[in-house]
Amino acid sequence: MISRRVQIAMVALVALILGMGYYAIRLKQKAEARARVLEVAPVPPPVAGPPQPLTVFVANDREMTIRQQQVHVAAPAEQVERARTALTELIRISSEQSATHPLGSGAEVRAVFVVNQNLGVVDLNQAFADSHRSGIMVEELTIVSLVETLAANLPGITRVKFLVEGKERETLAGHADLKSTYDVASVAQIARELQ
Amino acid sequence: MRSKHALLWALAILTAVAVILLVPKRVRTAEPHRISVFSARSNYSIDTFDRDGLEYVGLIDLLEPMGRVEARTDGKRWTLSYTGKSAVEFKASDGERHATVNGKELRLPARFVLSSGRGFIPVSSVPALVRSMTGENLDWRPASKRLLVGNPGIQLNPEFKPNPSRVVLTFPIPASPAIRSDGNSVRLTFTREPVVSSGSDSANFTDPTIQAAALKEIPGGAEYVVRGSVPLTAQITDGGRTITIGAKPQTQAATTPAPASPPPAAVAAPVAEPPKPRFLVVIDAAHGGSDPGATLTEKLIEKDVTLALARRLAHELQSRGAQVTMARTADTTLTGEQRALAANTARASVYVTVHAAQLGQGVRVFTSAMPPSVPRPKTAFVAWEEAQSGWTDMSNQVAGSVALECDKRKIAVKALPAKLAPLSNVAAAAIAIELAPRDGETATLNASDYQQDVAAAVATGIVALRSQLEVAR
Repeated sequence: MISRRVQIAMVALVALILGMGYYAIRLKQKAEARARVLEVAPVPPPVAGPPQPLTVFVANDREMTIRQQQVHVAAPAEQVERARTALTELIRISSEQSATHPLGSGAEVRAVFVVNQNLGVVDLNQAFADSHRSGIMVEELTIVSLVETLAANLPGITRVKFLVEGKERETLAGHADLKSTYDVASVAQIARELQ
Repeated sequence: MRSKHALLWALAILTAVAVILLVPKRVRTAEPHRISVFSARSNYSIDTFDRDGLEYVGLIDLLEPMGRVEARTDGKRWTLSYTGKSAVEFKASDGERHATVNGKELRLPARFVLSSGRGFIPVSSVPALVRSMTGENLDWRPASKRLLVGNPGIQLNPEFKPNPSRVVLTFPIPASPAIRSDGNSVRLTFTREPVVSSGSDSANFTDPTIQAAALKEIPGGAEYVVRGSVPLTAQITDGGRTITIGAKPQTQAATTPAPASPPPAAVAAPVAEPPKPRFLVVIDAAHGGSDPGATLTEKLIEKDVTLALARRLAHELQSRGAQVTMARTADTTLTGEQRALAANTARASVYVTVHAAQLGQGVRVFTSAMPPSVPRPKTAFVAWEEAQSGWTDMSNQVAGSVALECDKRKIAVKALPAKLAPLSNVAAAAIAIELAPRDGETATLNASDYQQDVAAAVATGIVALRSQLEVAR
């Protein structure tokens, strides 16, 4: 015969386990909700003034090409911010309904900075990577268009490193290597082959 | 006091239950084992998995290299169509212990398992099921988990020859066993060839040098052990068709009187054949296990297409005389480092990673975007991240040859450099193949005739450069 105290202890323990389980599920749901990126359009450049020409390299999935294009947007005078504006504009073009190389909704460039005057660092948001289509070619088109656009607007850089939410990531969507840096000259060679 | 003990017991039981429930099943299962399949069409091995204490194997993995397979799932019901000698249909339901083959009832020793659109059967049911699906004679060796489909077995016919004492093995095709001298014995381990006994598995000799020999089944192969009273050695001659096991030359000189006349050349003064260059292609079916790769259609995921295409490519290369190793043969998870290691440790001539995607059409052949390095000695240390740098020219040649062959066969093709982790870490000619739909229809990615065309083109393109690749390696 199990004593009453043991029975109470058992019931308390079971209740505790159930409670902890519920709490863990709630925590998981909260974390997922936090990670879920709101569907927002790319942030427009925070400047006013007359539109200025910026160079972007737009990918085309059907033709498997990268084409240079001039866009006219209000852009800051500071070079790194101009480069970020160009990348944001590139993403905006790729988010249009008629985009030739569509990116997932909510894709954004969080920041661009330069290290040691020659390494350009592009910090993408989680939605950019998570919603990107998977495949060597489709990922390569994205990387080449980003690197070429950055290099066109930041002439001093020789290498480009990609981060996602400020952290290193193995691949963009299962294929393109994001662990190492991209050599601008090598990417330019690929871009020429894709023209 | 008693209630305190009961409370402790209750706590211990609850903790144990919690641990069992919370520890992932993958951690609890044992390491995978393998079944080696030898058939007239292809030799391959597939991983088996522990499920509820029983060993299971994927039916698609088992049959696909021998014929054409198509699977469809309808709720819990799974149907597999296999076309080998004839068309056969296998039907089973998840959790049930019976299946049908062309409508004929087949009792399974344990439950049929359906997971992610793939059917798994208990290993103990493999012989009966493969026999009824393929209609071939089978030789199932449970100790080694070798399945010989048709009659591909190579019989071991050891012949004892005196003066000097030796055991001579002859094979109809070149054999390449792993040879290990262990004191006074020599072990020949056959894992690539379906070596089987021709009669008695063991023999005793009334000879002062060689005393006994035995063939036994070991996991994944067969082992022939020869024991003697002195250290023994094995020599491979005739391009791998003859293996001679006898006393080590120096031992023989020390233990036997000098012969009046020169001993037979094969043993006393063996003429070592110049090592034949090896042409090994490592094929890596990208993704697998917990990494599904791209979702191509609602029912088609990249990891399945890559494995199917990799198998076809392996078969096409083997039929053109290349040795082939596959980085994965079943739905297993591999890291990029493990894939590159598979090629580097095998000293591959060529590494091919196989991918599939929805975008575009035809085939894309990628090489590493890494710039070539300055020439350096083959023995020089190279950083892991730059392992490919000494091979970029050769990789580009292979990619060009494959692209040319695809073009000849009217398969749309594009060759480009790309930055892919395994390619950069491989010290061999290395390419990535990305299979795209034939004519914009994503479903064609899984079409066997299309995959076959692509596999044949890639294999022909690689083999066309065989001599250059052998020299480079």
